[in-house]
Amino acid sequence: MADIRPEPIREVHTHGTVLVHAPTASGAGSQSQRPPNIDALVGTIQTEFPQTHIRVTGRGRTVQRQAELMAERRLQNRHQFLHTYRPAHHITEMDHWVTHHPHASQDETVAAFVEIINRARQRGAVVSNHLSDHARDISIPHGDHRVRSQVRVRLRELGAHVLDEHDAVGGPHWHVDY
Amino acid sequence: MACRLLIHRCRFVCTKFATVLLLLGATLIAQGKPDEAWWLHASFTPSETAYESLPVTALNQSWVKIAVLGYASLPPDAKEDLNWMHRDGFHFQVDNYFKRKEVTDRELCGVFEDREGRKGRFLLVLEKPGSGAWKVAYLHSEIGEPGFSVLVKKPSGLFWGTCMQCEEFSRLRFERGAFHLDSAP
Repeated sequence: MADIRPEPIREVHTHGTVLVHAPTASGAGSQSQRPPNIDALVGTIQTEFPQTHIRVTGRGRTVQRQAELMAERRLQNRHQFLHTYRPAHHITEMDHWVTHHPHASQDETVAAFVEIINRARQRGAVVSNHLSDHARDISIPHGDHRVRSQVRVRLRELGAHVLDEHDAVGGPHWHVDY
Repeated sequence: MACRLLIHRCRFVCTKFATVLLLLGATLIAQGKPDEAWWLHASFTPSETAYESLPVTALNQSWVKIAVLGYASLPPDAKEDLNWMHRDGFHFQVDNYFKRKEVTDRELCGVFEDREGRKGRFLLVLEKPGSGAWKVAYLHSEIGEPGFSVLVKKPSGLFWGTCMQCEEFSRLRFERGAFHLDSAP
């Protein structure tokens, strides 16, 4: 406990103004130390920019939920399924599985799709941009455009990609991929 | 002297307590638990066995209880978000969105529990002729957490989602005599 020393406040100069925020106690303020996962990344940003009141607003989908959606789509309409998803090994695999198991229940199909998705991801395939382990939706940081710009720069420094979804149906937010 | 000692001890204990709290917060973040909006972990209790004149088994034969969500059922954490939720058109019940001739529809968000004790959330569409009774026109259910879901009216359609300020919204549409829920791929 006593080993934790207070760290200096870091000053960031943007467009002639001085904005101040405190780096994390764990030292994530340096560019070289990247958070181990998306949740730690968001936690780092929340700690560094407490005045922006950032909160996680969407976690993305689990593999199970993704499999449910894909199974539902394939079982309802094969043509639409093949049209919706770009041709890929795992899409062909899903399509063949359903064709060769005409009497399978929806639950069995979902279970098979979960395995297919997991195998595809182990091979490095991007099954969906909505999967939860690399993406989060966060609230748009409170503050003016300079503060938001600072947060965005910091997220990029840490290795994240930020998409401003201010016109989204579900409400304005930032989509962060990591 | 004794009083001073007591004050000193109290200060020491308080400082220690504050330090522990701070460290606990830092540990939670280090463990990857960032601050999340209430709707991501809100949970609701299915407690009703009917909706208006419809027994719960008329919605789904395997269900035993439901709860229809509303602004009144939201947790206390939601208080500071209610204004923008109203302003931005978030609803838990929408009436007659599809405006069909001689048929009224109602869209509802809720949670359920089935005979096997499994819980989850649902989007339900009911419809009725002018003076008739409600019947189920469409039901989408997701087994899992009996959690939050909401409807939002936009010029581009009526959308159902399980969060807000997020991507996970699906469009409910009526086409060729049936309702469909279009999820993102």
